[in-house]
Amino acid sequence: MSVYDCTFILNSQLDETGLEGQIAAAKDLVQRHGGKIVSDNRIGLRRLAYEIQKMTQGYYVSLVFDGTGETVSELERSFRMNEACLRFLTCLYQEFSPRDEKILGRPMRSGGYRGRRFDRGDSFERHDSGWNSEGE
Amino acid sequence: MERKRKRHCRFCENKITNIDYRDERLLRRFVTERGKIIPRRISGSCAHHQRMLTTAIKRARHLAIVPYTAETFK
Repeated sequence: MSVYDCTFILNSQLDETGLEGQIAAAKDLVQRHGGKIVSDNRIGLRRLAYEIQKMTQGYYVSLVFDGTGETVSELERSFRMNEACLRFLTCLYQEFSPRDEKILGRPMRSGGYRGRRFDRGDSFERHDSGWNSEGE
Repeated sequence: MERKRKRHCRFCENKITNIDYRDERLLRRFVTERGKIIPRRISGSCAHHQRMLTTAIKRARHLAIVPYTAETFK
């Protein structure tokens, strides 16, 4: 038995009862196949980075459960057949430390991107710290 | 004369053990305008964290949190 983290995206056009129904069905399925729900986190409506099935928004849910490989297979199988589920991803559970603002706040020195070809439209200026191409 | 600048990994400095693939704001910092992953000699990450970052970005792309490629206007 391992702890898994399954994040899935539900159709944003479903109403409140529809969404709750889908989540409850997923939790019920996990329990029926020998799993135990640890937590469920409704991340909510988010804009998608690209269109999926012509939709631009999705309702994200994260389900953490303790189960076997069989539990995971059954859950994924149900998601694959479910039309309301746009995407799913199951990973081994990892503890995430709270996002550290220090990582986001520090600016990097600007400089040119030297030495190699790069795509037009790409710019490393914001991120380059001014190193020469000294190799790895 | 080549300037020698000490590399520092932002994740090692802040003792981050795991990178959340759902954290859009963090991941976008390590991706170019075009949507490509920034190499570690530019971002300054250590090898260990760069690998974790890459896995996190690829998962986030699958979940449409970060794009595979940015739309470009012709």
